[in-house]
Amino acid sequence: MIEITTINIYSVADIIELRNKLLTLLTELGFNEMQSVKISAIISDIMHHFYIFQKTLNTKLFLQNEARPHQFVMTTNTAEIPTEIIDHYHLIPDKEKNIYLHFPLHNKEITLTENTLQTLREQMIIKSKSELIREIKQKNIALNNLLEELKKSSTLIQSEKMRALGVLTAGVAHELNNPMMGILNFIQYCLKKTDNEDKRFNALKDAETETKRCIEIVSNLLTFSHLEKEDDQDFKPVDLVTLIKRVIKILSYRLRNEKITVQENIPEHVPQVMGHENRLQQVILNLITNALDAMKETEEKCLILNLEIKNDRVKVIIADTGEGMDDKTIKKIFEPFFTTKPTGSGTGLGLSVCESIIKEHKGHILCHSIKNQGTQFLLNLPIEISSSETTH
Amino acid sequence: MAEDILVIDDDPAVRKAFLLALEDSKYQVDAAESGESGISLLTKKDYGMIFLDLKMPGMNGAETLRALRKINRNIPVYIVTAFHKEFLEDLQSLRQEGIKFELLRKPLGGDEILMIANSVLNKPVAY
Repeated sequence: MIEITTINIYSVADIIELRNKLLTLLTELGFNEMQSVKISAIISDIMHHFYIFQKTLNTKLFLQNEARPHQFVMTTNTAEIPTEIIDHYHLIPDKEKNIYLHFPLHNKEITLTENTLQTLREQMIIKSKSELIREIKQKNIALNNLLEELKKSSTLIQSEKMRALGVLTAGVAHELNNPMMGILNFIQYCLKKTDNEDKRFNALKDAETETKRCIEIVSNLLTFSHLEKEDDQDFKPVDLVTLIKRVIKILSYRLRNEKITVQENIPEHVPQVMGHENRLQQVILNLITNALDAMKETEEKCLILNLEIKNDRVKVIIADTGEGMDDKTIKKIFEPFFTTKPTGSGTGLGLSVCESIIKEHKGHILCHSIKNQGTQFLLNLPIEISSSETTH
Repeated sequence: MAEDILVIDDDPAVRKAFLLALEDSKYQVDAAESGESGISLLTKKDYGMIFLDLKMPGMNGAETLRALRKINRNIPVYIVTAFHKEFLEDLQSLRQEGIKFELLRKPLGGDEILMIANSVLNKPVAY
């Protein structure tokens, strides 16, 4: 007996709409058009199977027309199908086989001649429910494999892109250093020769500041582009607690000035990690500075620093009670040149540099954020056992 | 004690930067556009210190330094460079050979240049 309430039937229009939604979603996720079409084709295929499958859950048999896969036929005791279903789905009864023919791509009634029916019957392949389940499972595997493959290829494309970007930025940045040194010194020379009261003095002072800004951007670009090529031969044991305390000290003026409270939760014995002290400090400084920036406009200003040791790894949590980010922003924060800060306040390289540094240390960096509530960054770094034993 | 400064850099903007930064100082600055002409200047005159570029056509900074040290073992040499990964090995082998040099990061501002010159030339160099 078919229970209408349990049948989840998609019309062709529904399928097309779902497919389009899926395509948009996949494009948003960063898959290119060809990849999206490939995925959504498989998903539509699965949906189609479910469609058929769900419709036949309570029927004994299912028949599929192999020659025309979009035409399918369901069999049941004809008396058990309510007339509104027959009307709605334009099921065409075939009295001889006690079946209904269904043409999902046609909403118009189709008149079948005895000849056509005969051909149809010859082409029909009878499938049992278990066969259908198996088919759906196979499709699922195919989809999973494809997704895996796409994931791999998009990671590959991403790392290729980053490498190309690294080479390009390194080249450009190196070339810029000499003219930058020229410009900086030419401006400073003019400054030296200009009276403080002269209107031009301030303009020159601005030019100097802006040039220094350019120099800083170039230096960031160089750090960013050099990271991936660095090897770990000069890793040394690094004490993260000392490092965090140092960063807090560097920022103490800002913390006092902006009335930010610091909540620390650091265990007594934290093993050292192997790494580049300066680079790890850059990451911590960057993340804490971001946290402070995020709390500029919020009432509650609390910086949370947690350190945990778990399974030979040190976990550092840097959280704030700042403005937080929406999902769309979180997705982009590790992309180079992405920034939410006003022009001139950030190069958009900070977090992508952090990510490269943490990756170089065989660690992970994760971000959780809730809009208007705060952001949490989680660093996970491996402990070098031998060095930790000797130092603690 | 010689108080003249030798700048070796293939980029005219950088050479001019050093000249302007040190213009009003008591130091006389000579600038060479290549390692080769830098070496030839050093054979003719005593300098108090040298600012040396790394990446140059012809003799690069490391090669120039090696040649400079054959003429003068003790003159303070400041290699001025942006971080050049490709020269890291050269610099390391210079250190291993016992060739002395200091590293400065490009770009340098006028105050920094003057400060470095003062700190090197205003006190006896202890080697």
